[in-house]
Amino acid sequence: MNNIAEKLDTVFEPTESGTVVGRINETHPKAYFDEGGQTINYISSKDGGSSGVSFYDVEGLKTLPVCKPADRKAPSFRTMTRWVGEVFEVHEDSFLARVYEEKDNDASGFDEDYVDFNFAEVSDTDRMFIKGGAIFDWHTGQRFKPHGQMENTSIVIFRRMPVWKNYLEKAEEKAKKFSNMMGWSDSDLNVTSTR
Amino acid sequence: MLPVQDDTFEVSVFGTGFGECVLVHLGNNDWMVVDSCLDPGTKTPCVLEYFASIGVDPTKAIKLVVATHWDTDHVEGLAEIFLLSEESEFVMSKALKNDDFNRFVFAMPNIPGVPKTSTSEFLEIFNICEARAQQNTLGPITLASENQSLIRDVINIGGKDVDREVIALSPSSAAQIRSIHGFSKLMTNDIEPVRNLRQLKNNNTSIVLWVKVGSINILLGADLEEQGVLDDGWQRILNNHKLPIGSKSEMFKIPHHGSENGHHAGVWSDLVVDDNFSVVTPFQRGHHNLPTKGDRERISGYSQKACMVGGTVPASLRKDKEMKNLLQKVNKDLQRKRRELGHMIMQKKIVPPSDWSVKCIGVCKKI
Repeated sequence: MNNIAEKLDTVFEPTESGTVVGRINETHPKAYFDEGGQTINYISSKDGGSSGVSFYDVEGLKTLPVCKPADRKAPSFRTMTRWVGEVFEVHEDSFLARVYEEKDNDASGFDEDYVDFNFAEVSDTDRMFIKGGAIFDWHTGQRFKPHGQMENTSIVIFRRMPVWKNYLEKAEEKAKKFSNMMGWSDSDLNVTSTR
Repeated sequence: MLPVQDDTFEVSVFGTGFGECVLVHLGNNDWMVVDSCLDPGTKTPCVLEYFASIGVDPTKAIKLVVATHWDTDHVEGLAEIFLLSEESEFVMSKALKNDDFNRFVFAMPNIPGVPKTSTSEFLEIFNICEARAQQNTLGPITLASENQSLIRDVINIGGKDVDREVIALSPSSAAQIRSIHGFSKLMTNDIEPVRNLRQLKNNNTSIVLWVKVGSINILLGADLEEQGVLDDGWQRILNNHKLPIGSKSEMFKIPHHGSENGHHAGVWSDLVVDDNFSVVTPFQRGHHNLPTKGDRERISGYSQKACMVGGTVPASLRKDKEMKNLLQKVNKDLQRKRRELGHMIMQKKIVPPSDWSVKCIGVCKKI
């Protein structure tokens, strides 16, 4: 039995189910096999070479010899540019953010850069943070997949900020001292806080 | 540029498309700075650049520095101006005199990961005031509220006595209460994470100013809005002002970038003369673009001499090829806006009163 791996002519692509898909040859343009490398099955050519093949695309399953994926690496992301974003406007399913490169360390530039983001670009766990003024990190760069494939992409990660109360309470002493120095007293204002 | 004569009243309006500043010469080399913005080219406060060009020393000449409210587009560079103006009082809205706002100002710089905000300007100003108070070099901050006189004196120009007055027409007591409640709500919120607080609406904490020198009156509308209530906004001013009869203004700095929510027809009929000069500073940020076409049409119906000062233009990424390529690869479109400075100067002799002369520098467009 010839090692079918010799016939592989493209890199592999992991699918959601954990299987690996790769093109084998003209007769069997696509195949998938499980991560243990014990079986390999053909996929119909009607799939047309699209990525992200799932099980229901498969027909005519056939067991083939073992083929182990070569040089598999942990997925990684290389940041090319790191930006800081601030949500500027929130729409129904998107938001506009003002962004600046983190190296500029300041949002007070005079060329103001804006980018639209779809909610779909934000992970489910971060969507609750999409509010006007919320700060996030936006990484643009390259994602490397386990079998060496690379794609240009960007990642939005909202900063987990502490609650206001923590910081405001810490500033209490300074604020009181300043009020006293300015001679401000509650009687200056004939209104009271509802707090 | 030519120096401004002692007997000349001048209003300078600076706009950058995101930022405004009004500078008023009150006669005899006394100046009032209302808000501040930076020159997009030099990142220097517009006021200081202008002073340098006309030979005015800000240390002695500035008598009042007014922060109408705490939005970033009104306070950039204000602390730098105040630091230089050794004989100036600092005036801020009484609606911001509350412990929660103070805590907010003192807390913000210590919060990691939050970009610089307008509160940084206030903190610098508070620090200057504190230092001056310790040295007894100047009185405390002046807290302005409706119908409060900020300047009231008589000056001598060319051998003639001239009345001079600057009056705050807002904020109302109701606006002060609402402001306190806004900050209080923030303080008591146990789950709200830190973010840039642009969403804390504070336009109605704005200080609207009426300025009179001799027979010249002007009205500076800040960002005050009209909400259709009796105790706040422009309706409150119209009902409650104590301006003398015949004090309609010849020049009007239109409130809130000419937006619909800053408009009240009664202001044009009761507080501004028919043949007025009016000036709008645009707010062009993100998808916001004030004044809108509808706003401009409305304004032109009230003023034949309306002008828009400053603006932003879409800027090219040509010089940032690397960035452009990278963003194309990740399928992202970056819209860049560039601020452009406009400066409109309106002058009129105080004694005897002359016609207005108007000069436009940079981006100024007739509405």
